[in-house]
Amino acid sequence: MRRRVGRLVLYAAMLGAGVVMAFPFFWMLSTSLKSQAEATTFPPHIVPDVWLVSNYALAWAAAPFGRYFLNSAIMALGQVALGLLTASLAAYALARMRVPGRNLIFGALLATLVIPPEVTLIPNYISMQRLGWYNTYIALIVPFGASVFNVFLLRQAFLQLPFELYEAAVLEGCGHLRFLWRFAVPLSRPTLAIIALLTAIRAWNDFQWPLIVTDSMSLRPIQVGLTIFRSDVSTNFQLLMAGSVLAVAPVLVLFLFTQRQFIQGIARSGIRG
Amino acid sequence: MRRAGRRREAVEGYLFLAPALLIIGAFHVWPAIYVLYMSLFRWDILQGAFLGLRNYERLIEDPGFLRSLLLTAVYVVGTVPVEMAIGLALALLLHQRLRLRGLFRLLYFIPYVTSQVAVALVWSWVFNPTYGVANGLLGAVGVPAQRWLLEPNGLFSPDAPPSLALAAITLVSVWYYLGFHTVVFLSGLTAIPNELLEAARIDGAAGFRLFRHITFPLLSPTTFFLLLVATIGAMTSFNLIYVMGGGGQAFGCAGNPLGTTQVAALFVFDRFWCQTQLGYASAAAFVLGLIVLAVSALNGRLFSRRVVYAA
Repeated sequence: MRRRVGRLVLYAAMLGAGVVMAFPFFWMLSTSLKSQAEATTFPPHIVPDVWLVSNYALAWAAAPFGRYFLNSAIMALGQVALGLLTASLAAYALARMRVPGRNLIFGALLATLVIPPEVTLIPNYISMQRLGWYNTYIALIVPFGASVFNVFLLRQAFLQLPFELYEAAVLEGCGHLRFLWRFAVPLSRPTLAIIALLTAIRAWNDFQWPLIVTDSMSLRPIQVGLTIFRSDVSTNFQLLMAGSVLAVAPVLVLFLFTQRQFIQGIARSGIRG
Repeated sequence: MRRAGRRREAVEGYLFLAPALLIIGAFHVWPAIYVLYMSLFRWDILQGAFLGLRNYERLIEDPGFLRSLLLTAVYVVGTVPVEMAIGLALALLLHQRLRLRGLFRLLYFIPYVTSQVAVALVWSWVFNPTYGVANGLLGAVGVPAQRWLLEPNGLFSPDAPPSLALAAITLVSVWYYLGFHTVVFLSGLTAIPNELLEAARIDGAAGFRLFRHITFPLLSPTTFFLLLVATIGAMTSFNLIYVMGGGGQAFGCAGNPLGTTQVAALFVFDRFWCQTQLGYASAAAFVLGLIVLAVSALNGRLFSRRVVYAA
């Protein structure tokens, strides 16, 4: 009997926390379906009287969301592709090749983790101007095209590959690049997937950097677009919430399909945005 | 012959390393040095006169900067211990053999993957002074409506930080990062060897005593790691505070109402982006970086000796 009451309390606590955590998302969805009159009723209705799915069409038409999505997708895919390439090459060299000063290089890379991004913001802005990258996709992709965390994670994966495999391949006359491409990369697919996932979601959600290095509508990604949308729609809160739903939907779908790998990846690497 | 092969491998290795090192060097290491250089100049839109340390002299006399450091400290204290404590509690809960724990873990984690801009907009709407559901809830229990994100008056006393606005932002930050702490604590709990817990149970430890003397000490590497990462993250927090604190709005560039939400990262952004004082902002950014470094080192000194590793 006492045990059962205890269980009940545990479930109640878990459920209570779940409701608090989920409420803002419910509220965003609920508001996005209300008429403007109902959205500005006080005290607010928890569930809309009439469900206006048409708000989404209105929001979509009120700002270039298609363009914002495209830009975010280019930025995310670009960062993923470049990030996987740079991390694979560097991690392989650090894990498998006889490079003089290897440990020193690895240590120096880890040491750069203490530099907070707020410190690098202003000089990077100047660099973009000087390189002529300001307001281009290059500025949105290249500075985030390599990460110490990714190199670190992938190096761990490469270190765990059986060494005999490499020796056998070398006897067959296989070079490093080919070994990396044909064996190391395919065998480390789970780690590469985690890196791709974390990079893509982080890029999609990035705000401060694209805010300062883009100044034309045709290059702005969704998070920057959303803040502009906020000033455009002013008191049409239902449209603002519809826009917010649109902005989080792709990431949520991706996350729901990959949540196991994703959560494991976070637990392993401890990346905090 | 052999030596030539080694040399070839070394050259090839450096080529493999080059792209990553180039990007990290150019956009992560170099700017950390260049920011110091910039901070020694008057630098509006273009580089101006050499000022020596005058930007730093100005900084220590700037009440806005000193306040931003104080507000950052208040924000760190309001977020980090709270999200760690609740995160640990939820992790202990999810560590039980309960049904639906996978679902709840997912639910707690969702805020952390969504964009801070979007959730900041939602929470701004929740805290809307006229139509917001927060005031709706208060009204239902007979508490007068609040101005929330627009309220410069203090939560505890009118003049002392945090303002109600910063307190509301603190609450949202805890909500956002809670799932991260829960997941990392949960993986730490899973890593504790079962034999140790069993042995303690056989010796008669249970409930809170088991937690206090066995689980919590063995969890200390995770706790230490989270403390470090969360403190650094909170000290340089920007997006949530910027969007909820009225960034880019008619009533100011970064950190409102009346500057009571202008933490250090927002101060830097305000001087850099809104007032185009790049040299002065660089000095502030450099000082912030040094403080982050010092706090991390201090964290390490204070806590690393208390970390217990299960052999």
